[in-house]
Amino acid sequence: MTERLTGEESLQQDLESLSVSKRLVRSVSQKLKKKNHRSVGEEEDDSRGVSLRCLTLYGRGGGCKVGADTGDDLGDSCGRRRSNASDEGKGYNLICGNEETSVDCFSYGMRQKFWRRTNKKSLELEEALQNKNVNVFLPDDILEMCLLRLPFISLVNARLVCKKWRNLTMTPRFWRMRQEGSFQSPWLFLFGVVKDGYCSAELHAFDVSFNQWHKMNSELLKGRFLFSVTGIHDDVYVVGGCSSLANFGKVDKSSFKTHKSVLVFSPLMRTWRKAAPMKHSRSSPILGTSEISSDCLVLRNQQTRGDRRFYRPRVGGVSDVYEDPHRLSVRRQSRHSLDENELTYLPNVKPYKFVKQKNEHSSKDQRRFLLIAVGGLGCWDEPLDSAEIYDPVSNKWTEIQRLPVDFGIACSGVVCNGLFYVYSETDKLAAYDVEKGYWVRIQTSPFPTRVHEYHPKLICCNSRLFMLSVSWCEGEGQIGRRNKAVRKLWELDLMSLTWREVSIHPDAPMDWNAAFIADKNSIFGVEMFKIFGQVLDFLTVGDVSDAGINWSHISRNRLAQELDAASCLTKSMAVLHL
Amino acid sequence: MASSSKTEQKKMLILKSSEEEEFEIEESIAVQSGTIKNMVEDDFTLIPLPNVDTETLIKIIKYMKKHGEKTKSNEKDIEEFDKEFVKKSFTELKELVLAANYLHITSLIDLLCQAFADRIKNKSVKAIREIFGIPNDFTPEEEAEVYEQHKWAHEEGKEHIDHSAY
Repeated sequence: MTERLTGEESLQQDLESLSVSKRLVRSVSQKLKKKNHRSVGEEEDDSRGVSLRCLTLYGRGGGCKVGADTGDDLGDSCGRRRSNASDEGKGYNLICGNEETSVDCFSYGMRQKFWRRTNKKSLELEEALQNKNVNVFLPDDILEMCLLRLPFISLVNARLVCKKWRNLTMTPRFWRMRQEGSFQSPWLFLFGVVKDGYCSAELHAFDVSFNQWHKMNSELLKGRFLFSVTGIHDDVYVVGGCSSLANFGKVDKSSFKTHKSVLVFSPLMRTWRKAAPMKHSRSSPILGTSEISSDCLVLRNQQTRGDRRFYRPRVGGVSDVYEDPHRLSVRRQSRHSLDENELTYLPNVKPYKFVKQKNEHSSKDQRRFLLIAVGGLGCWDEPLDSAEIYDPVSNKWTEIQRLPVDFGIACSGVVCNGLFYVYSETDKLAAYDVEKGYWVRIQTSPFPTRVHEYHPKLICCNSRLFMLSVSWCEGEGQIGRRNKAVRKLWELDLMSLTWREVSIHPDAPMDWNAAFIADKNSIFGVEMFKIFGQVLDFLTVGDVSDAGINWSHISRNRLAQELDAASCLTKSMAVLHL
Repeated sequence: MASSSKTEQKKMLILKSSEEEEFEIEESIAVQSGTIKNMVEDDFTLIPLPNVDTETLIKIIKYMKKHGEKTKSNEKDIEEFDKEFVKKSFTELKELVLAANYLHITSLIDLLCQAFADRIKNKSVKAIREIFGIPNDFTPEEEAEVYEQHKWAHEEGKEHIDHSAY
């Protein structure tokens, strides 16, 4: 026995001096040799050193996770893949226990490797017989370049492939590169649909490139209606709105509450968060997003603002060209004296400033946007003329100058070239100069006459200002005969301030609350209406870069079958690039 | 450079593949590759490319030749060429993109990456794993979590999914 012990001792020393790989080689060759003489071989193995080796394992503090015990508890260690898959682990595994138990201890991946090592030849044959495209291994930087170019839906799919792919596609850097490389395509987000009388928490996303609708649930929006939406970067901002108090979830204004809260939805992360609430509760506010230079530092107060204003008498019909090469020519009107006082001494209007952005990445990376909310209806459904501006960087709303006094109720607005143009129900046009911080009235040549119930929609496409307005179409050859309503696209010439008819929309204007939104060169329109007991939807797009804008239908009746007619009233749309 | 010729004879370079095969090519065309351009500036005329095998090098030379003669008029022609050029197996595309990356031919890298993206954009997750030989390292719970996050994108459009791995 002593003999044996010393033998073992010397063996132990022997073992310790061996490197793991050598041990591996030894054990593998042992294994292969003893394959058919398992029981005998193992016995020898054991006597030679399994128990000793196990002791050594304990000694090393690794712990022998691979006992001869083939119990189910070994299965648990499969979960801890990496800890067992160390080189040390490999070595021990092969030595202790029999083949079956050893592989059970490790992750599936390890087992594969183990098998491959021992069965290399058979596997190679297998691979050769399989499709020759296996194992197209791309280095990470090239893989990233390929993934950047995937459309959003495919990218979402790619995240399921493996952890590396998921991690590669989830970083902010990756999304910035997608943006900068222009690998994104537009997505339309349709909000506010009503189903079975309830403001469903559904939102519908239309993938323009695949021409497909997708449905999402957003519990947070449940019960909220008549909110306004807009897209900024990769998020959709949901601003204001109402909820019924009597019948929660229904579009019921008998007893309701108006919100000032702002919810932000990120389709990328599929998350909702809350932004700072507005100063005033609003339903259906007019929203505009204005891009400003990312390190803009502007300090404003009423005094300086007052100094900058020009007083020009209004000369009937003729537009003055404003002599400033950096600005658009807009006619400025002298204000009612009351206005002036209001402006300069309005106690509630605080001076606002844009904080200089200090961020880790260069200011070129992110374009900065401000969100402007104007008008809408207040807590008692009263039309509002207040306005406020939101800076996502500081997460703060600041009140800005109210709409001009006799402007009327704002019904549509859009930002174009740094000016937030707003149109009123009484056909007035005003613009808020975002940087300078005040409203100017804009006198244009006569506004297109329109059907009164249809509020025109302002659109800005490539620094051009358009308006979609429904008017009566004179019957052919019958002057003065108004028999058909038609939706026309007008463009405002920003130099001469005249409206020019550009195109006629192919669809009859059945939806008086049609949503139109611009994206680069295209104008997307969604119309929903009930006819013959059915709710239909039409999605059209017009390309502005053509001389005569052609409209095409891109989706018909894919969406509205289950929706209520009330959706026409409550729907709103935002566009994002994903 | 003394060897820069102003005569009619265009300067030729020799590209050598990893298998030691040599190919002659005009310098003006070869410098579409940033790597080759650098070597030319260091006065190399024989350019060894140990990372690029013969088959791939032939294809790349073909690409560079076609794009070297780009003019305003043959844009459509080149577009057609590019379309046909990427009609290859995944393995070939892989070899090409690795070589293009090594050779710094930006337009070719873009073309090939776009080709990869186009080829896998409709594929199922399984098919992608097969093509790239990637094992699934998600636990069932993790996988369910990622899937749930973007369920809305997966729901519709199942008819588009391509399960083939080529």
